[in-house]
Amino acid sequence: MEEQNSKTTYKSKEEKDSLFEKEFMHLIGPLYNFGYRLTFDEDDANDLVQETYLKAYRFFDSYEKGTNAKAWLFRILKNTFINEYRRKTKEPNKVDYQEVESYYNSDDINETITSDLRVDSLNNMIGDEVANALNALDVDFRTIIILCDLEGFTYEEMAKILDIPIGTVRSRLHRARNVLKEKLNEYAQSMGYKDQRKKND
Amino acid sequence: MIDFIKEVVNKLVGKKAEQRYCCKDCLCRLNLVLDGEGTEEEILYLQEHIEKCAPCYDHYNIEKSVKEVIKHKLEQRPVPPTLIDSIRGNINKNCV
Repeated sequence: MEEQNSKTTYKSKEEKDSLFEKEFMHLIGPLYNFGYRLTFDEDDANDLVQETYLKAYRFFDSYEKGTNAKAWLFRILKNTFINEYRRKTKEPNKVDYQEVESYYNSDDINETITSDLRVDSLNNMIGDEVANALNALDVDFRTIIILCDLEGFTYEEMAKILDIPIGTVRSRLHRARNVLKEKLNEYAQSMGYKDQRKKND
Repeated sequence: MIDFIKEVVNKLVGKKAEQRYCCKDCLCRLNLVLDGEGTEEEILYLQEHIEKCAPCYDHYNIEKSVKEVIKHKLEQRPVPPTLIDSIRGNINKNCV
């Protein structure tokens, strides 16, 4: 039976390299896309992923076999981004800091944006419009939506990746979704205006 | 007592208050269930509740669709073909 949650052990560099490849290399797609969605830049995403794999290799001994390799790599990439890239990254359409701050500090988790966002307008949206709405979010909000809705991490995994308590995961996710729905609604409405114009032509 | 208060509120501000109360009450469960974090009890509660409560049913469908558009409509960028080799080279150079 395979040993669960044990420290990774290997006898030679070849064995280490082979284990490393097997555990981590197939995750390069989601990692690269995560890097790109954080930085909006192909070169920066490239550097982030390179750095992430280099660190993962250096710390491979502390990786516990049988734990979630994807969550471990995402955590390293996120920390690398915060330490090295965040300050110099260009962020278009960034949400006003004050607005984000008030969302964070608000106690009412049940507060919901009641918009006229409709299921059929969501279904009619194209990928670019969804991407624009997501990219307009502050990086912390964008990150948690990517981790939860795109990558399907559990709340517990997200808490570890982001170094925050599970309660904060839930509240941040809730607020991120409210802002996302607002942005999606803006796109849906502008689409509606376009449809109206076509009818009038 | 709560029923009495709801009744009074309903009389004062109309049926809307009932709807808001419902949505507030099951909102947390709704997101937990959609995120795959709900308990069996919470899943059952939500399933039964949205059959009876139209505002919550609509809300459930919106939240579900938002999750789905993020999951399925975002374009995945292809990994640059040189990246994997470059990672291997980098590791061999820096971690001997």
